[in-house]
Amino acid sequence: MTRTGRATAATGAMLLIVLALPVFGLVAGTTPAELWATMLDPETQAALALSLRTTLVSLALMLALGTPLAWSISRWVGPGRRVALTLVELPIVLPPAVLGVALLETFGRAGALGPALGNLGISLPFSTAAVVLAQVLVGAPLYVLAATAAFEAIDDDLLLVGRTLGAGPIRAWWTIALPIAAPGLVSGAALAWARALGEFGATLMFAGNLPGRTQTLPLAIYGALERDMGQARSAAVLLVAVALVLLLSVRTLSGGGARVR
Amino acid sequence: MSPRLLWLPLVTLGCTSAPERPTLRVLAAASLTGAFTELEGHFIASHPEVDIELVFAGTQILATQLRHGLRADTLAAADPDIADSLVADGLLGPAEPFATGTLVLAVPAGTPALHDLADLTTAERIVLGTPEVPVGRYADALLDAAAVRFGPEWRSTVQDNLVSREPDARKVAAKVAMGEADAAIVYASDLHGLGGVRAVALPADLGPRPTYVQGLLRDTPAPRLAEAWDQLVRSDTGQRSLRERGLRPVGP
Repeated sequence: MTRTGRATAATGAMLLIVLALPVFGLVAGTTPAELWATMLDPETQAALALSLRTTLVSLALMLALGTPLAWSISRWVGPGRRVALTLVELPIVLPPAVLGVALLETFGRAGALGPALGNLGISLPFSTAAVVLAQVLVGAPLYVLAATAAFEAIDDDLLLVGRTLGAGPIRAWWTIALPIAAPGLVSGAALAWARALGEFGATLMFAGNLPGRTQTLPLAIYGALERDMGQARSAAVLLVAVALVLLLSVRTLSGGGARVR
Repeated sequence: MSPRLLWLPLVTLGCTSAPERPTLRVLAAASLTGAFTELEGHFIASHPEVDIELVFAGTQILATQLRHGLRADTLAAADPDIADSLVADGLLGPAEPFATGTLVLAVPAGTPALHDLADLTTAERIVLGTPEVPVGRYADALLDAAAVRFGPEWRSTVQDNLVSREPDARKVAAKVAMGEADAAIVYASDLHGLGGVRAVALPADLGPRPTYVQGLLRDTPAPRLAEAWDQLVRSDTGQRSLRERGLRPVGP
């Protein structure tokens, strides 16, 4: 490594330390006994189960709707493209609690669409569906941006070659575009899932906080902060562990941290 | 850009400019926001040389922050038990009551059907504070006491219609103000200045009476300023501000 290379790595390492240190502090402050007691706590178990269930539904929605959107944006030439990308990015900028208020003012009983939904017998606030909607709102932008970048790297000529060999447009996309973009899609999906798993502010505002129905693990942790710091800490370690296992396994499955180019 | 320049933002962040002014940091339960913000104006008028900072949060959160080294001069707690535990830990000096709060039933302004605690079962969506925060704990105690009067069926209907437990009193009140909840149990002071909400009085003989206490932090760097603030809260001016927001001052 050159001298400049070493200096660059050393400077970069400082950020890595700043990013990782709070997590280490959290883990170091937790005793195995505390962690074990928290894992056996019924309220924590219910919250973790709800978190896993809702984020899996959110992930499925983000993939099913986000992939076509990302593909369309990646092939879109014209002024609308930048508008679409900006709309996708907007929820990232907004504080989650504000997103929660925005969701209430849109889908709430007194919100813009509330009366129409009410006529259909649908009431979103304080429901498990509201938890999913909040998670999709914060997670989908991360997936769509990653997927758009992955799709943009695909040369149209490759798809054209597939078409000349007799594949229909859908088959060409499925057998050529999707495998090439897969690593980008998978890591985008992992990031979006992790973001959904950690979602707190929008969920609290829009879905409320009721154990078993809308109390996800981050909400349970916030509640425990008021009661028992040790339990809050160990529940947070549990959340970190679940996210770590997921992110690491996805990195391994999709070709690891190895450099693609 | 030279790598050394990358340090510039960090270095400038660390600098403090301007000569030191005496500062007073007041910690207070979230439900005191209105009254204390008004008193802040009075304090600045009589102490123009002082920078005053008000920090509002749930009492339990403030206690946690104090235990982790937050520096402050006074603490006004919505829960005497939490204040007592801080006194026992040697962080807080003697904390004396200065006001009591009143619990009310908060309902949207357009629901005339609900005018008594007994009618709470007609509310389809009820919101309370979490059992960990005082406003939620008081609400649970009140509902349990009411169950003796209205019966276990009344209590279980109320429980079934409970849709959320919010982490502080202001968020409980906000859910009613936004029209998302049909009823909530909050402090009367939380409804001050909140549109679209009607307060329904609760039976006076039911449930606990929330008490606010204030004391000086043991390691306050400015005990005389802290003392002046405490006196302001307990003065006629302070009591008027508290009374205007539905709190009942406790005389000396």
